[in-house]
Amino acid sequence: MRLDDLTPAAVRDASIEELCELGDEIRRFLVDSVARTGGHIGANLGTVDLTLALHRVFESPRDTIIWDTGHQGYTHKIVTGRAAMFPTLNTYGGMSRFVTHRESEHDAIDASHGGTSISIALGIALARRVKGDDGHAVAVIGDGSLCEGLALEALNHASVERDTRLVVVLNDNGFAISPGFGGLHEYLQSRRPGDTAPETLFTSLAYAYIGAVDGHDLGALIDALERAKRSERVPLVHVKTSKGHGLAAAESHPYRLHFSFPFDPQTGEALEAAAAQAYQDIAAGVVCDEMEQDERIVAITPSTLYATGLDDVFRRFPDRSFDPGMEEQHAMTMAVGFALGGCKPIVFYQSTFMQRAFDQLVHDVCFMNLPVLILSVRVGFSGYDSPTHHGIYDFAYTRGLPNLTLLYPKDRYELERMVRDRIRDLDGPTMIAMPYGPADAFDESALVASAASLMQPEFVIEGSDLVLIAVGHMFATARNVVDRLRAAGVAAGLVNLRRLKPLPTEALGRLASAVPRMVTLEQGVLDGGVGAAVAAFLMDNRIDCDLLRVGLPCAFVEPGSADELAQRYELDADAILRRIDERWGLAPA
Amino acid sequence: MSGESGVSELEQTAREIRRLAISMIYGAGSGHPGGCLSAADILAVLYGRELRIRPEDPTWAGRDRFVLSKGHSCPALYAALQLRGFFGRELLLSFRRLGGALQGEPDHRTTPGIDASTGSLGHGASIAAGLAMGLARLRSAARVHVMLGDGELQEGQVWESAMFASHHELDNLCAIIDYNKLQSDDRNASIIGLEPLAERWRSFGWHAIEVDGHRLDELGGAFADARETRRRPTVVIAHTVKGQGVSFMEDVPAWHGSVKLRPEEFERALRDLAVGEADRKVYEDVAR
Repeated sequence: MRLDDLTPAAVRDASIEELCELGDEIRRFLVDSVARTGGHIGANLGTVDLTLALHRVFESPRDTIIWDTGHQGYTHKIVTGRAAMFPTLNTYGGMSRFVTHRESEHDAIDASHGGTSISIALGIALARRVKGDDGHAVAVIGDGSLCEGLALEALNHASVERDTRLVVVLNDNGFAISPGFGGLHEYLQSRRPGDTAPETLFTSLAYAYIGAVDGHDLGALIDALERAKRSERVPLVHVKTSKGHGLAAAESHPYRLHFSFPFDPQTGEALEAAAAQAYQDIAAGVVCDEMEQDERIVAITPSTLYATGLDDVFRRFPDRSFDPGMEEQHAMTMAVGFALGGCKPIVFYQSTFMQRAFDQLVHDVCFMNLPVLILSVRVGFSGYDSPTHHGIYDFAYTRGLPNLTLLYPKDRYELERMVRDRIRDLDGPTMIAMPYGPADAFDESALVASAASLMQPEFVIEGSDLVLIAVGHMFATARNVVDRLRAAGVAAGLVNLRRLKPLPTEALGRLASAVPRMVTLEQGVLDGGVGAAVAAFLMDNRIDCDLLRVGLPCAFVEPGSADELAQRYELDADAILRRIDERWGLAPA
Repeated sequence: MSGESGVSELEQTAREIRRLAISMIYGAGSGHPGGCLSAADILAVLYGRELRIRPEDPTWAGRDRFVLSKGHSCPALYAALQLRGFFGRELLLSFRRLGGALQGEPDHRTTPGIDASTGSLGHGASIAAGLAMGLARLRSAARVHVMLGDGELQEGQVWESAMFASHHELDNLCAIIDYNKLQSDDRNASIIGLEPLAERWRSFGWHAIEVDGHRLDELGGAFADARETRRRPTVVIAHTVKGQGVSFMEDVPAWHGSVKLRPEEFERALRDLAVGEADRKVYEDVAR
């Protein structure tokens, strides 16, 4: 079968033998294509056969297939006619890493965070019950995502609803991003195809448990899904898949090549080594040193070991390092327990995933005003993931929280100092933000500055015409803008804000009273952003200083490189100079 | 011309403004030549060096503004705008034509580079003060220049706006008086005298500078002085000769306008303005 014009109907009409051949062909195509573009190769090699079986048994889009998280849908994309788009993966405007309704009527949802599928599928099934419509709703959820509190809430609800055409398919590959973890993981691991022992967990929750099924045996998969389709009770099909199936390099990789940049299909090694050290590696290095000296420090990250640079920490301090799986909410509230128990908890989040733990931050950490240090990585643009992966809402949603201190260093040296100082002097909820990508290195003097000074804005260049206030890594852009303005004879100044919350109002007040114009630069949404906070401060205090806010619109930002997105959203130096020029006539000619 | 002209280029620009203005007025069969000729050097300095403007983006928000309050001298302004590149040479042919872009008084709706429609004397002074006030409120770095005629100073509104501008400390405002000592009917001194003019402006709270309005270096120095002056507006009193450069028009009230030039007068004016035989066609084309 030609992959380019494959359709769900062709899959429904194919014989099992033809589907087996098709599966092999798709695996070859995936390895060949994703090795060149980069992508979520591991999970997708594991779901080739399951996807073919699903499209064979169910009729998309009349039956709705909901891919939890949406990054294991590559085969689904091929089956629904998108093979030709694969070379555009990980390019601006190219095929998404995730399923998305923007690409196909067969993609029912947009997602990129785990654990939403059962709730959505149940909602769709109940909507069909209410309206009397046909069609099944199939939630395909991984064992990692099943550990999300949200998924467990849905699991608690779904089985008691009658007359729904809901099917839950558990894609159990034993991994989240990191290797699987916890009691549920252990239980799932204990179930094997051909087991004769009765299933107890899901059965006792009133599901019709079907399995465990070998996820690479198409005949068995199709039989199991046919049974599920006819089930009276809500069926849960337990499918055992192998992450990275068929690619030796993936099957021997610690994260089974969960995600890879362009790689060598033989070795699994990424083709381009990371150039400069990333911010999280620097932060993790400091945490490692401090853990050596202070036995009360514990490190926690919810299944984001790969993104937070904590491998060394986990290797050296296994007794004080915790990865509870994809359990962002639990990670935050557990940190509260550590604090109450006399430890110094440090929680590493990928910014986007901390959104899941918002109430835990409000209700548990901030309300009890406990010494918890949150290190948030990939703040700002986060590359070619889904629009929801950008860390551009952090300040907007934390700004109103009492007791929280929020710091954002301009470069690696400030980060190093801030992390060390805050660990040693942790006296309340504190968050340090850091961006994706290689770390800037501007000013080593931060390493010997006083701890108190690093909590105050840095007045880098004085300016009487206007002053730019840079938030975090926007410092690099701000400096470029200031240099170019000064070269044109404009007395432009530069401030590195450092502390976003509480806003350093005394220093800002002095600055704003002495200069007629200010510009705030942030790589976050303007609504509720730092610029908005500064504007409110000026207004509340009747300080007559004209403010230009540079940041992101209230929007979901498409995937793209930092440079592509800065240009698209006018956060690059050229665009900022243009804005200053338009507003005040102050730009270089 | 560029926006960074040297003195010799400014001299050339001033001469070109005079030639084009006379050609437009001759071609239209009416217009006000005297005030165009007295204002030409001032306009050359403004458009050749002083104003921060972008001909390719005439409505650029950050541009310096120029208001020609003595709107009847617009042929000289149109010539300056054309030389700076705001529009092509062919547009000069629309001067004082029905439906043409270049009306007998400046119209900001039809002419690229014109910031305010003027003509009713005295109004431009208030428009400029309002522009300066607004730009200051917006913290714009843009400056506002307004050129007033000397006869125009007899309008009460000029002094109302002068009080307003100094009260609000509009240091981004610079007025230029084309002080050629003549008005439509006669000498100012015979109608209503203006002296002591500089003292009058100073008493209204303005920084007043007197210069020879045909000396490009003095004009340049005055504008630099104005730019550096803080918390009060500046007036540059430019002593000029009405009809400067065309022998039979110099210091003769009758050439204020609106006049129709005879062919031999146009010939004579071009000769006075050193137009050689080789270049005559350029100006005859504008005068068509």
